[in-house]
Amino acid sequence: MLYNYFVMSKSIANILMKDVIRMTNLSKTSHVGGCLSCLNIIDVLYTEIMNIDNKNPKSQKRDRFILSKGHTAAVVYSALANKGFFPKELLDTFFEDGTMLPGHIDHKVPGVEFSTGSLGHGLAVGIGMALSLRNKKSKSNVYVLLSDGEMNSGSTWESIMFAGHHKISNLICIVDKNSFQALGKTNKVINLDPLDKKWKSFGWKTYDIDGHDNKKIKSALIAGKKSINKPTVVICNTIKGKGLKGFEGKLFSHYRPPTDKDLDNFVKVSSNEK
Amino acid sequence: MRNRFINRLLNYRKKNNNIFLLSGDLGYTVLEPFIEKYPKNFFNIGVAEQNMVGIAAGLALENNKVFTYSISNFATSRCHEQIRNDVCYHNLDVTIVAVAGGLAYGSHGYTHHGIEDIAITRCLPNMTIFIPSDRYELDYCFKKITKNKSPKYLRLVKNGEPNLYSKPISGDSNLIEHRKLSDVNILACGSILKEAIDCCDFFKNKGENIGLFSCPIISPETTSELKKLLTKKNVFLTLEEHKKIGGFGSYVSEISSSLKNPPRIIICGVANDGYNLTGSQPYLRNLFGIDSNSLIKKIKKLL
Repeated sequence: MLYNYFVMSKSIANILMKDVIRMTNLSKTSHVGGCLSCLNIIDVLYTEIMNIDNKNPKSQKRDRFILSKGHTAAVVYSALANKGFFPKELLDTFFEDGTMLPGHIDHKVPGVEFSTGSLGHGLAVGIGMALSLRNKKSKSNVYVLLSDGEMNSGSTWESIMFAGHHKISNLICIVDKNSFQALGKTNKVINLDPLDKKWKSFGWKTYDIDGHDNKKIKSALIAGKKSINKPTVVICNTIKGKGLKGFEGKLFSHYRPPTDKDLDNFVKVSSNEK
Repeated sequence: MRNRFINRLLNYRKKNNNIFLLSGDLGYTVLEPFIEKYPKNFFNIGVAEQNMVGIAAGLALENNKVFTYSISNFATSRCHEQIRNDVCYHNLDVTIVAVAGGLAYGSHGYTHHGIEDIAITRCLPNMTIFIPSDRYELDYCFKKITKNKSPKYLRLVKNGEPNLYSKPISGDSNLIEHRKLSDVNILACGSILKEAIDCCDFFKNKGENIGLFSCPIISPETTSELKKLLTKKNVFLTLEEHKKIGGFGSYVSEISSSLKNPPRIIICGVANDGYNLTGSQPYLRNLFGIDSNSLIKKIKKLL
């Protein structure tokens, strides 16, 4: 079921996936599950939605992206490397001593707008960017990717209230709703369902979609770009560890790095799929 | 001091379109002139200081110069991680403006005592701290704030503080001399400078000179200036409306400890267990031994 990825014309999902599994395997580090759950979202944003240019990463005309769930940096680093923002060999230095690529996303990496890692920060920063862009009558949009665990944070709700009240329509938020947070299922820790209705009640245009369907992600994000008087949230229902055998829908995928065998299996399966 | 600040900001905005003022739902009868004149450059973020600082960071990332405004603890403690990660780590042009720094709201109770703010801001990367004692020092600080594109913390008091200078401050030093260096010296930070001046006047009338320097800015440049000053004499009292832990006195002591022959540093500040006391600013200054009379007693023992 990996595997509808490979029929998408522009999709680089299979490349992102291989990179993420390799990076977390080599560095023996955590968060592969959350990287894989938001992988299609990152894929669509970087290949089909955002206006970004590796030759001019600070262009005023660019779209802005904030990974508020900063612990899944690996998948964004991979997307940026594959878009030519920095040499791909650097991905193998992920988490190493003195690396340019720390475990949580960092603004010193070319193409990264903002460092996060403590949850509940990204949306407010996205609002500030969007307000400034709106004041300047810019056509750029601001995209912020949140985790569903992050929906526990009071600061996230401060931002949701504010953006809805001020009708910040150039702000598009995406929630990677993989239904897990660090110590368990999100609906067992603090149940926030129905999540879309909560956002809607704060004045947001809401979409609730399959977060592994690139076409649906693309279409919701395009609809968000067209919104004229409301911010948009796209709640992506996803599977933690999606596509990695044995890791799908498992809490441990937040912690356990893929083994050499996991990596070999993945490469074998994805080669056969081709 | 609050009104002076908003007047200065208004003037600055006239020539700079990229100024934003964000309030955490505070500033009644203070912020209105700015809001009326530049409504598009003002946002009342609501009682949501974490969101306020995050939004400030986002605006600053888009090349704006941003000021956040709230009461001391709400402006700093409540949103400390946003100041740390979003503003300071990214080295952004955001000024955290806090009113009621120190014991200005002493009668309101401990929740409104701004006595840990220096400790928690001065340890942050790229941060410069401004603690003016009166409107002239505020003007002096504000000029530096307009030129500084990194994170800043501006600690104000309220309104009606006495003028401690008779004319605008000239020069560029972060240490402002009030009385010439002597065998015993006071380094004062903030509006409590008034108590130090009164103390020095008492001794002056007795024919004794007590050295006095105001230190309204804490920055790497201040550190260099203080290093030079501290090598020159043997006794310095530091004076502040802040806990003795981590504040201005701690700052001076840290500098002093790096010297080959460090002077004696006597920290005069709020007692570390003085959190359950409530009362007016003069009452609390007296209780904590940081009013002029208490200083006089301390210095008499040193002479």
